Amino acid sequence: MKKSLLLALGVVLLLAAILRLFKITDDPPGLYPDEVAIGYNAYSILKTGRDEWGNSYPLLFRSYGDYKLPVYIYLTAAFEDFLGPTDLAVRLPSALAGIIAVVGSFFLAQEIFFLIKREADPRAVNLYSLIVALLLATSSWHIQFSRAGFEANLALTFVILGTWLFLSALRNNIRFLPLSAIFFVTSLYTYHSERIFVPPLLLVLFLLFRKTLLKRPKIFVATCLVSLLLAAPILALTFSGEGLARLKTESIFNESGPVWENFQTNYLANFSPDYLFFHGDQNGRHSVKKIGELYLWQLPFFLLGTYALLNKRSKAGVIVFSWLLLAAVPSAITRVSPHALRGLLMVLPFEIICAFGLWVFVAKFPKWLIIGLGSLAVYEFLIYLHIYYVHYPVAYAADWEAGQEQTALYLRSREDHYGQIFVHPNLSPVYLLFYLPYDPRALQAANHDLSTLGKYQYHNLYTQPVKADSAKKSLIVVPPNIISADRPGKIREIKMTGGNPAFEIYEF
Amino acid sequence: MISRKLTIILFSAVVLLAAVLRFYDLGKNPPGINLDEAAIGWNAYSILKTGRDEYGQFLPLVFRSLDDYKPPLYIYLTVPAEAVLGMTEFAVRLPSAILGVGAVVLTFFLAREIFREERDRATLFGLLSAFILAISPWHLHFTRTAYETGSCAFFTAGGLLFFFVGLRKKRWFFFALSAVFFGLELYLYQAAKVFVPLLLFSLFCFYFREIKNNLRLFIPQALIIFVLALPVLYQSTTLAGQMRFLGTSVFQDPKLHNINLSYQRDDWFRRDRISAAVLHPEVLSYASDVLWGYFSHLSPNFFFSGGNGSKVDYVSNMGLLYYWEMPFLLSGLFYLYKAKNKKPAWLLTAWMLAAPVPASVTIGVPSSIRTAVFLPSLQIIGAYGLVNFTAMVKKNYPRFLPVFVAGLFGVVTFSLYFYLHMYYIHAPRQNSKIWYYGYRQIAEDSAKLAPKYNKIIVSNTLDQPLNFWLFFLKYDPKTYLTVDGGTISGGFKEDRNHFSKYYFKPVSWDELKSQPGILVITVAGDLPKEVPVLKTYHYLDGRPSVIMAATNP
Repeated sequence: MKKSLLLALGVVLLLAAILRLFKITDDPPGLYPDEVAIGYNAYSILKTGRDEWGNSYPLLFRSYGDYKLPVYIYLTAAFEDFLGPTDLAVRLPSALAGIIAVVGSFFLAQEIFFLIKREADPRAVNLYSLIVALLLATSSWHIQFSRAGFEANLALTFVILGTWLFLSALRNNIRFLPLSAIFFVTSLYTYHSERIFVPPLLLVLFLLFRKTLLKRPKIFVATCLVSLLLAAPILALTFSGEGLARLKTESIFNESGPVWENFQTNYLANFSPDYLFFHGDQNGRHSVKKIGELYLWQLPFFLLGTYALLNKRSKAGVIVFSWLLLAAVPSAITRVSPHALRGLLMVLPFEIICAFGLWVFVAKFPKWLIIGLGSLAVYEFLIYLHIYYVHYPVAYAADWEAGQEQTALYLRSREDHYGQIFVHPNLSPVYLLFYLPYDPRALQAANHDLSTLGKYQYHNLYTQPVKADSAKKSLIVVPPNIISADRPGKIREIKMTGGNPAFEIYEF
Repeated sequence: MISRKLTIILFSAVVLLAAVLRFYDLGKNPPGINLDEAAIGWNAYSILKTGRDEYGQFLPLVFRSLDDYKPPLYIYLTVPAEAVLGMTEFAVRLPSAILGVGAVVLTFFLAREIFREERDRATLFGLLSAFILAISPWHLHFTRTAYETGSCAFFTAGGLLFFFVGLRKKRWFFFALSAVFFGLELYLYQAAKVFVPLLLFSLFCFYFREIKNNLRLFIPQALIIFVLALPVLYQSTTLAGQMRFLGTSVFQDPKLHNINLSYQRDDWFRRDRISAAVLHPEVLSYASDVLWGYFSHLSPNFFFSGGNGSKVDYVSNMGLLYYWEMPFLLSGLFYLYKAKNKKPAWLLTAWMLAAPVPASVTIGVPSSIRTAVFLPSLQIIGAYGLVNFTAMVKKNYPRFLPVFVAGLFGVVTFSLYFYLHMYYIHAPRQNSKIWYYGYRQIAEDSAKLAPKYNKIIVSNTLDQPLNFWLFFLKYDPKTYLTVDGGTISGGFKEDRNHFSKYYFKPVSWDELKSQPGILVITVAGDLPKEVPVLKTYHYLDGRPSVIMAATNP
């Protein structure tokens, strides 16, 4: 690769890294329960080879009954080997996945461009691919999910790498094909949406390239067989009781109203301008809610890119638009739609199309217009950064259950001074499990009884708890407004970022 | 491609279909008229008999009506209908239906004119556009009821059609006709006051060269527009003209504003003045609301899913366009921009982009009522997409062509059948409330009972019943203005409106029960439980609607 290209790519990667790693444990403020569950299950695997429920090296982690997919948890376990059971260990895999996704998108974009124009000028290819990488690096959608332990983000990286290697295999070296298959299969084990998205995508890829694939039957068939073999367990499990558990609680089949209508409304909601360009996903963990999933200035380029891509009538267009349309399905069959996390796969085709629109634009339009639009883009990006780093952790601290972590850490630091610590159920047990950390063997031995964790005793605190050893001092941990303000003994109030009280701690 | 005789047959068939769909049970479905329609009906009758509206204004250019300052054209068009048919629901809705069929006719010629260069296919575009408009749920709903917004399609199509004919034939007469259509549209509906100028401006830009070369022909057009527009312009400067805008504009809503500015305030508290000023400026707050209001009308869910506000959601689970229109709308845009002559693309795009503008500064978005000016651009684009997409299939996948066409035919027929089924079987029963079902019966019953009572008090909770009673009792407008003093005001809480024995005010049973000989008409559940109810009326779905009670004689 030429030096200038390497330099440019390096800058984009550095930008991606900074945006994802800077203050990653402070913003989003605090791990939310799913992240903590991941962290603890990973710790449990690391120490005992079993998950929190005592299952040995499971393929589905029961956790809260949502049966999480395994790859992210095992990866976190590996990180915890070096970093211990910390916030960083849980979030770092996602951040690294995000950075790798940016690299992967660069190479994927190259392959897409070569599909549009076989003998393309390398400078054009590289410029286009750099734009894609830059857009993904600075995408508020992608950044949001790269900064916390979201399996969907890791799965997206696998899909990007899988698709890149697939196209590269067909163009350069067919030996990449098995590698591509490995990434696709791994993605099936990483996040739920991929189980719905990847098979149809692979079907599309097969139909588009069947002639080329069938010219190398040995490696193709071998790859298929091995992939099916590797994927068989998860596919089988998908149709089991546990696999369907998540689907049952979240799907539209359980919703009131006609299923088909709900599906249509939910599906189309993923393409609503308000969601994409103005206010984003209204779940406080999924976006900053004042900026859309994509930047407003991307709207005209999305239209331009769609038109230009369709006009070229190439396999690239089929791949990109199939990806886009299929990626909206997972969130459409669930009750909440639009859903930026379940639909995270959509971000890549959006950036590819916008980049294509930009690339056409950069070639044709006058310099002053480019500078003007560039300034607008930078301005909107600055607004996003300001909101994300200054206002977001304060305004949406509650969505991240901020305060639970601080409470658990505080209790850990003071627990030696007390005989018993009575905890209100509002402090989710996983936080205690992860931050103490509580010995997984003890939990397994107690058959996952969460009411007593060593000296921590869960109590609904309607009445004053009875101390086991009345000689020693004890603590009570309650959310605010449960105990009347004039009761003596309050030694600490744990606040969320932004000052809202999370828990109060009383000595007695 | 299509012979002249076949064209005439197909065209007649489409127009007949449009007429049947609009005139069948006109006045009966939706079951009952709403308060705007009653207001229109009464004011038109009042003009017919006395030349004055319900407030006594002579031939007004703005009808104060329910304090919503209605534009005048539709009401004046209702006058001849009522002259012939009397003051009936059918008469009130007749102009809308006629202009609806007229819009279908004009759309045929308009689409054919826009794509004239494509020769054979131009007629096909015309026929398909007209057909899609004829069966369009959006257009049907607004042309079977007296919503002024539905008639905009007629005037927009006419204005554009004669503009293009004028360009082709180079005769000033057509431009003048075009000007008349556009100018009249300004008097038809509020949104037109913003939409028509935008559309005219686009025409001016796109056809600048043609206009420059034929300046002479345009002078009458410019003059007519100017003359017609002048009163409207003048009105916009008066308070009466501005009332509707002020009532619905988004700039008046402090709550939205405050939410958008909460971050600005937070920054001020953090003493970060630079961020507060640069990153959260106030103008962006309004801009964000306006832009969002604008784009909410270009969202797929707006067009294709139901749920656009209770007043318009008559047929549940159906959108404004059929689902099958979606791919053809998208491909229509694509093919338009691929064509050699880009002017149709620009025109239709400008039309599409201008349509949501008036609604974007209002509260209560997205609104399918305020953006009905979209029609029939979406139908024309859809028709263009349909024909070109079919041609693409024919060229590239000829073996699939019969399957595709048969499938398409099936889907279109089925959707139309489904829509009609929902519209005629389910919708009246489910949504009779928003059409004030039964009010005619209630009013007539109250008239029969009137001799026995001293006063009849009709509660405001019936949603401004004054016009309903005037309408259904066929009261004499002259008497209303001279003897009863006309309408005092159209406010929701107005309690001074009355005519003959009928008084329209909020009902308070404690005050009334001591007065003898009063018949009280109010919504079910409004009176204390002990009060004996003379009669209960019901909506078509069985829920109680209105009750009558009386004080002791």
